[in-house]
Amino acid sequence: MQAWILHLDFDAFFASVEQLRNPRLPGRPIAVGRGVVASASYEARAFGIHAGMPCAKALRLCPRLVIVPPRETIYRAFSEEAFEICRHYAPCVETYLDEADLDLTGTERLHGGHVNAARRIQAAIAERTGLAVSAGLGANRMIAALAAKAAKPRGLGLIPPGDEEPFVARLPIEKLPGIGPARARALRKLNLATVAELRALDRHTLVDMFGAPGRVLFERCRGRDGGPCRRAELPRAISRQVNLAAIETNPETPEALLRGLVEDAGRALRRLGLACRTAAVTIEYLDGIRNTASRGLAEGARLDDTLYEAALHAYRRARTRATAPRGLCIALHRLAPDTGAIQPALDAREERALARHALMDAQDAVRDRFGGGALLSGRTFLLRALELRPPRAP
Amino acid sequence: MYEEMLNEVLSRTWVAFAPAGFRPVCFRRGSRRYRVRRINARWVDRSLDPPRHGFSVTVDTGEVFQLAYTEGEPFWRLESLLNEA
Repeated sequence: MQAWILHLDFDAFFASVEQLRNPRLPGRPIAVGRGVVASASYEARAFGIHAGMPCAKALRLCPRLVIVPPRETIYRAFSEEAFEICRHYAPCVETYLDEADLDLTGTERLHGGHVNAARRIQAAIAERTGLAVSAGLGANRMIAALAAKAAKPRGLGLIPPGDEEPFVARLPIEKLPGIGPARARALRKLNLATVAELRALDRHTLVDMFGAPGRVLFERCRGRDGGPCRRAELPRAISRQVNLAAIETNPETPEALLRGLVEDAGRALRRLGLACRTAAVTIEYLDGIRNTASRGLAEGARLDDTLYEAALHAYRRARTRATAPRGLCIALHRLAPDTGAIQPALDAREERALARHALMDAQDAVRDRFGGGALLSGRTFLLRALELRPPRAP
Repeated sequence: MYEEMLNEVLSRTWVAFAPAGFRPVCFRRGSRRYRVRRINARWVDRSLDPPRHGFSVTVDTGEVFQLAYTEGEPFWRLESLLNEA
């Protein structure tokens, strides 16, 4: 049976939600982010502003830019509303915060064609949430995602089965999933600019150049991507970042901010019912150089204290230069469902562990209700003295 | 443009119920009564238990407020005021 995947991608998602939430914002250039732009409205993109750009640079490009701090729980509520619609159409829906993959294989007669189903889903999401989504249909997830990107904004892209290879062939290599800036630079040095040219490299060469991901690239540059749709959302990483340029006032501030970032990321981790095995810290210095260090955890961790201990270790390893840092990012990797069910306490040590988990859950409940700044730990209290709120969560 | 977090419990809120859902029509904050002129956006945070309903509303004074109602609670909250910069 021919596989059909529908990829849905919200257009300028965070910025669109903010424009819905505040009637003064539609038509104005806005960016959502704290220190770094996480999402920019189409009006802001006209000035060259894009996700990942430092907010200070975005403001230089567009002094009228309105910067809104992110409210992740609200965005998630909007996306969940949309994903609920998707679940009426497909037996398997894999969701991310602003994207979804629907496995429509075998549902053609039920919906009167996949294109019809895609259009109906787009209309239903627009009606229920007020948000625009772009859609892409293809034989696998990568092709569907590329079709949706090509159809942005509000469009529907279709790549019929069999056309995958010619479609990806004409793309610049940067557009191929799995090729980031570093790999693109390496390939461009070899005078490889398009996916068609990348096909000249055989599997062994790609593996020699990029390790195991080279095998995946070999398939992808031929329009093949074997990943199935999974029902449960399992992010690859949970990251939080902050811009330090204007606020580092003493040597303790970065560590306090690190604790704030860990608490924020840890809460997101627990909300998804996950535990992590690696904490990585990236420091971006004022001269643009970045240092990253990570610390593995023997068991999946979910408690802030354990995560902070690992993050602090990684931070101290990454902080190798005297230059002042400009940005700080914490990322929790190797995520897996938290299977460490709390057992009934048999001794004092287990009882303490139980109490720590209970305390963590209580703190999360308070912060979910009143915001991330409602409870401060001893370390993040310093941020309050500096009139800096710890990274507020969503 | 900034959001002023208020987190106030509203002393009284008037709510309209319909098959499609409910919406606030009026609320009292301190001694002042605000009439909801427009619902700008609504959402339900189902990651919380019980779920919390959020509303962005424009009131008769032209201000934009964010209201929240947690299912089962006997009151509404005024979460924030979305200000012009």
